[in-house]
Amino acid sequence: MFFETWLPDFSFLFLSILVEGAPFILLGTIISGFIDVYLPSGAMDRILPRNRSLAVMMSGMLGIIFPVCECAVVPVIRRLVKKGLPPACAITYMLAAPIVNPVTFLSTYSAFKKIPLEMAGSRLLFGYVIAVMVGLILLRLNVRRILKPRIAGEIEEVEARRAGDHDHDHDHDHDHDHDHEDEDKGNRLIMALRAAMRDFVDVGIYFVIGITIVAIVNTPPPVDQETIPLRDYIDGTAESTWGAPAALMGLAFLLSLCSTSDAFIAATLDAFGQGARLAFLVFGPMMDVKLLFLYSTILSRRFILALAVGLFIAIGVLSVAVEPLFEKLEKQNDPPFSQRMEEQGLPRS
Amino acid sequence: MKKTTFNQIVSSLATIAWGTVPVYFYAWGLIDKYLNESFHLIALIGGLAMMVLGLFNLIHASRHVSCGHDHSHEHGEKDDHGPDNDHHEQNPVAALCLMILPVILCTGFTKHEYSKEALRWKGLYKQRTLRSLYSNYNAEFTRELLEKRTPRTGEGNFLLQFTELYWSAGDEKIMKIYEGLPAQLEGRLIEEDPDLNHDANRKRLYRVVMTCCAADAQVLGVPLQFGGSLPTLPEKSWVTARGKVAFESIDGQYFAYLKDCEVEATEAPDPRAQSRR
Repeated sequence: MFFETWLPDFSFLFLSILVEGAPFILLGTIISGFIDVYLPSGAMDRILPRNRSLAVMMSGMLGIIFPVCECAVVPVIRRLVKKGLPPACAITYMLAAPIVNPVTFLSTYSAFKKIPLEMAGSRLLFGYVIAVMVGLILLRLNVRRILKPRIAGEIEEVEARRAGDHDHDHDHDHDHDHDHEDEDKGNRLIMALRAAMRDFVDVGIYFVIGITIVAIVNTPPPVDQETIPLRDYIDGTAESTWGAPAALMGLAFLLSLCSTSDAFIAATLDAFGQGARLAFLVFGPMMDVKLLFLYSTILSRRFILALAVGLFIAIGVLSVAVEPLFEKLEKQNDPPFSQRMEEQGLPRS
Repeated sequence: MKKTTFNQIVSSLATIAWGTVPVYFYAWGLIDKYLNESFHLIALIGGLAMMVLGLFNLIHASRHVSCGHDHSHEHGEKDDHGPDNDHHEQNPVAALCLMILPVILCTGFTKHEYSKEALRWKGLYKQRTLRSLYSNYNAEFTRELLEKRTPRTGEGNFLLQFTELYWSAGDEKIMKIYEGLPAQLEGRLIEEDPDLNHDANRKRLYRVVMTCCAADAQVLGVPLQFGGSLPTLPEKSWVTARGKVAFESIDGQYFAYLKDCEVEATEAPDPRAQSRR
C-alpha cells in the first residue's frame, strides 16, 4: 500500500508544487544575487522617505513596481535587509508584494465574475492595510526581536561600519572604480550568480520542508481509507460567522497556493461568503506552510509565530466585518444564469 | 579540493537537479499532468534558467573572485563576497539530502497521475455544488437557449462540457432543462463506487480539474449507466461517452449521470487545444 499508492501520490504532489514554485524562487534569488553585488549598502535609505512611517507606507506599494509572488519575495527581502532596508519596511514589502501587485489584481478580477472589481480591490486594500499595520508595529521593535540572531548581527555590523566610515566614502569608491573597472565587470557577474545560487539553495532547503508537509497533508493516508478529507471538514464550517474565515485561512495555510492564481480556487469555494473568501486570499499569500519555512531563513521563530497569530486574528476580524457589505453587493450584481454558465471559465483537465 | 569549492559544486548540482525536473516533464509531454497550462512556459524557462545557473557556477566553482564594491564601508579590509569569506557556508549534506535526493526519489516513484485511492480522496464519488450558478437566476435560461448555444454531433448528441454537466446538478429548474438531453462527453473511465452501484450496471467518467498544480486538483465524476453489458476497457482509459442526461438524489444530494450509455475509446485530448477551444 505504502509503495504502491502513497509514495507515488506523494511524489506526484511534491513534484507538482516543486515545479510550480521553484521558478519563482529562482527569480527572487537572481534578483537578490544582483542586489547583493550591484546595490550599494544604504541605497535603500536614499530611495525611501526619511520618515519611517511614510517609508513603511511606501514599502507596502513597492509590489506595484516590483511585482513578485510570495516565494520570490523572501530571498529579495533577505538581501535588502542586509543592504540596509529597515526590517519594518522589508516585512511590509514582504507581506504586501504578493497581493498588492498588478498580476494578482488581474487574476482576482478574472476569477470573481459577479463582483470582480470589488473583490480584487478589497483584496488589494486589505493586503496593503494589514501589511502596513504590521510594519508600523515593527517600527517600535528592536531588530533582534524580529530577525534571526545571525542576520540581526550582520545588520548591526554593517550599520556600525557605515556610521564610522561615512565621511570619506565617496573618494574611496571613486578611486576604486577606476582602478579595476574591466576586471570588476566579469567578477561581479560571477559573484552575482554565485550569490543567487547560494540564496536559491538556502531558500530551496526550507521550501522542500514546506512542500513536503503540504504534499503529506494532501495525500490520502496509507492506512485508513475512511479518513475524511480536509476539504469536507472545511465545507462544514461554511455557515459559521467566525468558523468560515478561520477554516478558509486554515485551508490557505495548508494548500500553500501561489498568490497569482489562488483566486481561481477561492472562486470555487462558493459555499462560503465573500468575506471568508477574502480572508483566504489575504491570509494565504502572507502565511502558509511553505512560507513558514521560507520566513525562517530570515525571521526569528518567535516573531514568525506572533506574526501568524496576529495575521490570523486581524484578517479574520476584518473579513467578518465586511461580510454584510459583500452580501449587499452580490445581490445587486447577480448576472443571468446563462451568462454565469458561459462565464464560469472553470479550468479543464 | 577546498571546502568552499566542494560546497559550491554540491550547490551547483542541486540547482541543476531542480532545473532538470521541469525541463524533463516539458520535453516528455508530462508537464500538463503536473501544472495548469498557464504555468507550463514559466516552468520550462525556470528549469532552463536553473540548469544554466547551476552549470555556470559549476564551471566557476574553483575560481576565486573578489570585487571592491562596498569598499566604501570596508576600507580595503576583507572582501564582502569572496568565496573564501562568505557570509555563511552552505551545508553540503543539507543540500544533498534536502534538494538532490528528494527530487531524484520522487521522480523515480511518481506515476505522473493520482492513484485510484487519491482520486477518491479528491472527490471522485462526491458531488459538489456551485451555488453561485443557481442563486437568483432569471427565467431567460431555457432548453431552447441551451440547444441553440451547444454544438451537436452528426448523431444529434450535444457536446456538453464536462464541468457544465457536473455543476448542473443541484438546482431543480436547471436539472429540468438538462434532463433527457442526448449528450456526448469525454473523460476517463473508472469503476463506480460499489455503494452507488447496486445493480452493477455503472461505471464512472471523471476529469481532473487543476487550477495551479496537481496539489489543488479537484476530481469531478459523472456516473455512466449502461443498458447492456459493461465496457471492458482498461481503468483510466480516455473514452467518449454518449447517453441521456438524468439526475438522481442520493442522501439528499443531486447527481447528474448519463443513462443508456455507450462508450468508445478515444485519444487523450491535447490540453493546449482544449484551452484554446
